[in-house]
Amino acid sequence: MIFLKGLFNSKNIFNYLFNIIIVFIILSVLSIITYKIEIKIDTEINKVEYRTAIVNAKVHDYIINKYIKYIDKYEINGDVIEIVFKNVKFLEKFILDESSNSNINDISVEIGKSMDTYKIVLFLLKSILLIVYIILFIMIFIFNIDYLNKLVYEYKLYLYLGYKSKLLNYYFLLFFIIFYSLIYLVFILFVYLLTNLFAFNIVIFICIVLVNAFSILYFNYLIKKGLH
Amino acid sequence: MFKLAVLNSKKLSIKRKIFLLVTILCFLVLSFLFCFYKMYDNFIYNIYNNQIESKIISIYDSYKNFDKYDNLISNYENDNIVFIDKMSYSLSGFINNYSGENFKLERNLKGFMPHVIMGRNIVDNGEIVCPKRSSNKNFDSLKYNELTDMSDKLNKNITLLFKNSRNAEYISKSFKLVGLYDADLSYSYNVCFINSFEYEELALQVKDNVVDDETYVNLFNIYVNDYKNVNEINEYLKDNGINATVVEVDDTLLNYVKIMSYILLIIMVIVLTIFLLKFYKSYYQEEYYNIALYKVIGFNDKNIVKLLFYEIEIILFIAMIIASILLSFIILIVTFYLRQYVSFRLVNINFPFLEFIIYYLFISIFNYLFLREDIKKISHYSIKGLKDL
Repeated sequence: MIFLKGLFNSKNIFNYLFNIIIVFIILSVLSIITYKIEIKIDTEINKVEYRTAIVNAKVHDYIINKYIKYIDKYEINGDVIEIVFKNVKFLEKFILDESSNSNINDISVEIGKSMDTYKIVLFLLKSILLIVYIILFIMIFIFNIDYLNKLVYEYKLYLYLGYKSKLLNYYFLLFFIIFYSLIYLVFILFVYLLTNLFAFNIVIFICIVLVNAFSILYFNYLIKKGLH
Repeated sequence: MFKLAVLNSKKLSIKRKIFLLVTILCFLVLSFLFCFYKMYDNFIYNIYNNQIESKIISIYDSYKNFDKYDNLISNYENDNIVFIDKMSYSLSGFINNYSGENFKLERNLKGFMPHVIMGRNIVDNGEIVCPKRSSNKNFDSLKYNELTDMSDKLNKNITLLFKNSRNAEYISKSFKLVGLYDADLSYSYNVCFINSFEYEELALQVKDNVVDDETYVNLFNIYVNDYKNVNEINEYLKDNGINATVVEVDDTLLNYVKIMSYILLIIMVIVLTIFLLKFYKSYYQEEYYNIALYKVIGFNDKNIVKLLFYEIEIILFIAMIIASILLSFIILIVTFYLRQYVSFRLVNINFPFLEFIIYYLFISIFNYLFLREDIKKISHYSIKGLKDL
């Protein structure tokens, strides 16, 4: 019960919790919009005309067999094969590999739009996401420290009763991990329901665990120094 | 009161440091979004206003029908049409050898020629204006320093070779390079401009017999003053049974990204404002013990509001200054990196100075209002009650 006691009789705790939820909302909005823009850019890059190659070649079977897993569909008209690749990257790979092939007389493709400017957009959005994640970790840290500060007398009591601080820290860590996992799960479900995007990121989850561990260690340091 | 707030702020406790850091990060997030929106707005404006091709309507037909189009255009009572070109939109002039690098020559029409940044504009025949940096390679992933610098050729003669469309012979023509323009805005790194009359003479020499040949398909180009008026003229031509070709700017994705950035900006301004206000509320809620102390020594509610407001303002102000410095630094590095590539030359990331100030004032006002309300709520509390909060 010591772990839950911190949730009672504290307005500040709820202020911080509210802030963490706001940060998760910000993350959801950012993730959804980044995903939508990414999808739109991907659709634009991979339009059928940009992934089609008109190949004038002596031997057709060789090309078809070699690239069959990259080909969406193809049509043979005499010496000319019209190949629609599954992705622009496969078309680029095909041009790179086969441009010096003596069996192929000519490869003509339609050059797609330059997507460089859109890459900046994604870079900006990902930078914003990174900053928001840093804010989230700071908020988690503040919340944990404040939460643990409210329980300092109970913590000390348990130590007097013979509990080891390692065990108490372990339970605190478990409590925090379960608590934040639930919030993170809600965030993932929210994003998934709106966009079908599975927004779970193992690195972020590990970072959340590490922030929790760090906040507990910092709390121990405060207790040792008598600064709590 | 301000002096006391400054004195309090000098004690940089961990709590204050964290508050400062979070505020800086929030300012950075917002400024990135402002940069994002402004960058796209600017980008779309440049694409619409500097791409000459999007202001030209072309009709493909033999020269014998051109009189019919002339009559039709003369009946169209509107100032939007600035020029009619019956020759061709551009001529290709080779430099040095017949198959190597070439320049596209165009007319020096007002509104269809970029601003000259070095030298002067064309005033006479035999003069040419070229891009400051030129190339006729594919611009994607091309580095800016791979373009040829034309500055050293200013006020010198350039000889171009034009291939005659009928007898395949080359006509040599010398021009004096009188001015250089910035091709970044229009991505016209291989386009030069010459006098309009001289252009016509040259086009006749290069494309001789074209006028008399009924089977030869030529271009009847209508130059429109603004891309916004192109559709109107195109509709007029369609109503008269003429199928014209317009180079449309494919702006679907651009507008999509712009709308998305706008929505994101609005959502983030609202959410981050709530976040910051809540965050500051938790800051002064932790100061209740101090408020009780201030009350003991005779501070009234107004003074306490002022004191806490100044304390928060100092954090906000320092955060804004640090965020501005960081942002300027980031913009400088990103711009320096992007300017190396030709395809990013149109991307202009500006510091959102005005937006920064407006947001700072906006959050300050809200902070003050919330602070006043909250202090009013606790003003009837006893000092012991305040201490226990």
